[in-house]
Amino acid sequence: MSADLPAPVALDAPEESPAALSEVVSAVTGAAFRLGVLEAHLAGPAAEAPRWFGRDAAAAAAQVGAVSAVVRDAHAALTGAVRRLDRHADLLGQIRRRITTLRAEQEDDYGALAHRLSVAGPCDGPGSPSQAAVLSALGDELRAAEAARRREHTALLAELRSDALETARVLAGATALVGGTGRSGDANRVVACLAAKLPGWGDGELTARASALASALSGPVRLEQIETLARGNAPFAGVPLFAGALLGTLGVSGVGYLLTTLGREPEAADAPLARLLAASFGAARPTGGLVGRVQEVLDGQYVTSTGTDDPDTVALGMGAVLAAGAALSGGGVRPATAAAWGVQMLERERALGMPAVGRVPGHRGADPVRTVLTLLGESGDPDACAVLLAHRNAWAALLTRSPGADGLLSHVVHLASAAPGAGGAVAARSGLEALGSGLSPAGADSWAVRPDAAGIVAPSLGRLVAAHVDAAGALLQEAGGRVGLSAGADAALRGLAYLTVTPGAASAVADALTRWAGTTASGSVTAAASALGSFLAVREYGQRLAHALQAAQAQEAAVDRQITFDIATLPLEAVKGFPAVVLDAGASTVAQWVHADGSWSIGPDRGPSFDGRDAAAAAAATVPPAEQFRAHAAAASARTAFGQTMAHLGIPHGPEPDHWEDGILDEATSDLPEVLRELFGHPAVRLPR
Amino acid sequence: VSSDGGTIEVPPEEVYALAAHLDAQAGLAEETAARLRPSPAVGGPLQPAIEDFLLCHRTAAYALAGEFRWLGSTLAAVVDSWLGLDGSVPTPRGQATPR
Repeated sequence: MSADLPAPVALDAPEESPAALSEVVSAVTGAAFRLGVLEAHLAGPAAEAPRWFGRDAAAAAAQVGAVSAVVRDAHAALTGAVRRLDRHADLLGQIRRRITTLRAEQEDDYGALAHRLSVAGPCDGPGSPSQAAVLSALGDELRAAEAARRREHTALLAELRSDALETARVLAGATALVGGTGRSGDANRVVACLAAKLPGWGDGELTARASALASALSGPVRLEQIETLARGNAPFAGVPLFAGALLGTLGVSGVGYLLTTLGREPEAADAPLARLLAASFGAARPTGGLVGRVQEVLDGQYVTSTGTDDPDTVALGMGAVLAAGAALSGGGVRPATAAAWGVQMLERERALGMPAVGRVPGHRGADPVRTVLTLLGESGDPDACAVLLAHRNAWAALLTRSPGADGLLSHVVHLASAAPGAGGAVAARSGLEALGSGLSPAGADSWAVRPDAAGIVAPSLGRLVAAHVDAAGALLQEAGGRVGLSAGADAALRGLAYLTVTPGAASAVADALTRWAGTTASGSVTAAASALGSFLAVREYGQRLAHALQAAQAQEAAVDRQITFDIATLPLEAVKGFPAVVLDAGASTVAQWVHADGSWSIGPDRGPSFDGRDAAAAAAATVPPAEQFRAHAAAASARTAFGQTMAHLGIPHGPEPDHWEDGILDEATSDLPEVLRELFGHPAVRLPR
Repeated sequence: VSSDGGTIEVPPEEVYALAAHLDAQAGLAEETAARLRPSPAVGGPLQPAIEDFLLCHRTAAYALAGEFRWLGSTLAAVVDSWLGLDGSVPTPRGQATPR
């Protein structure tokens, strides 16, 4: 009799090698034994010098204690690992033996079945009930046995796998004791961890690794190699010694090269190099033999105001490093460094009239200046904010650049108001100078500040000025004197005037100034009164300035409408003859209807006015009751200061709306406004196009 | 006595012995590292964990060896320095011994 038997179920042995596992267990056992001996040696009397006293002795004992702790941890880790590996090896042996048994049973079953079929004799023929029953019974018996073996084999392998994973978890935990995380490539993390605990070895090791990395990054190296090096050394980047040695060895030129490399990357903020530099700039301290070099790198000038493409690319690289640092748990570039980098970027932006993002073709990444403002805003560091705002050109660039970061700037200015001492005062003065620069008669056509930016920033700037009111008081006293003002003081005074047009800013400055005058008056009543008188003059100028600016804005809008209308009706120029006359007349009428004929109007100036009497009253009100006999002198001083300051500032006049008779005169005397301006010296104010 | 009033006592033979003892431990740490060298592949899900474990502890053992060497040499240098200082200090008046 013959029949088709089912194929035997595969009963493969586990893929783990018992011999290799045994070798590992043996190796780790040997290592654990040696660490045990080491631990005992360190606990014995030979590891002490009991008659040695002094600071050196204490330091040595402390370090021997530290190294003993590491030995103890490592020994415990290896011992625990050996126990777990041993258990797993036992299980592996048991499971392999059981699978061997299953294979033998399987072989026996198939052998027995083959034997029974062979002794049952030839088949009686198809349909024989007795033979069919025998075949069916034998087949069912074998299939059931095979199914049971398959189930057990699967369960055995699952049990082994589960135990292997648990063992792997224990091994990962054992690496944590020396600084590992259980992930591949942990060796550098262990070095970073132990370098802190074992500085005698660690300092030299980290310095050597930093020097080697700096050399590798400075040489001819491909981008992929840079990324691999940066990724591998990431665990050290936050260690001050390593960071300092890396930056110090790279030097300003090496760091500049890497920033340029980053600036050319499309997704630079996510690059390992950006994270490495961010962590290094955050951690580096000028220590050791590279003190001067590290400080040079931290204070380095990477973006110059001149030069062609490279400084812009460097600025983009800086932005990437700043952004990468924001995502690091240990912190990135320090706020003060970020502020200094922001100044470099803005100085260049001011000089060239365009930000780096606009000058690098095809760049789609973040605006580095925006990143600086975001970082400073999130840092909450008043001193760093003041560092950025201490530079007039930085202010000027920020107030004239395209919209989008005005809110961030306002927050940074607000934070700077908490900066103590000269830092905050310089930031306030620079802001006023930038705001007022170009408003003087001499520079009337160069006021480039965006009015909406100024409007958003004004309340914060008002608080900044109020927080450092001493500086504002000194400026106002200077304005109230008879000596001419410097260009910077003139611009600051006009900036202060512009500021006082914003209600929140005006009240903040006025309140602070009144308080300041009250305290200053005890020392010098006339000096305080002089400042208050000047302030009233500044407010008077500010009110007239606001109206002049509105007029200029209205005129510019009218001109824009007219240009748009003229372009739209340009095709009508092609019509000749009588129809052209009719069309021209019609177009003029339509232009008047839609207010596109260049005409404009503005209401009368209804802003509050101040004069010498207001100045005198304000000053007299601040004189302390005990010194009322000085009120008259204070009032006189304020009145004088008001007049002096008004003489400095002049009265701003905006453009006047055209009248019908002007049209006749315009053709003949198109230069008349300039002539009048020159004759009478009236300041002209013109908004930027 | 140190400048801050504390006691300084440096027994050279004791500190030299300590330095030598610590330096000798570096050998044991290096042996430990050698035992943890890469082994034949075990296979299965345990393999990556074994590799990482051996690498981490081998690195740690080398670090320990380096620290022991540094401690040994530094302590010996400290004693050398104190002995050099002692040799340079003039003998107090009346206590000089003829050569």
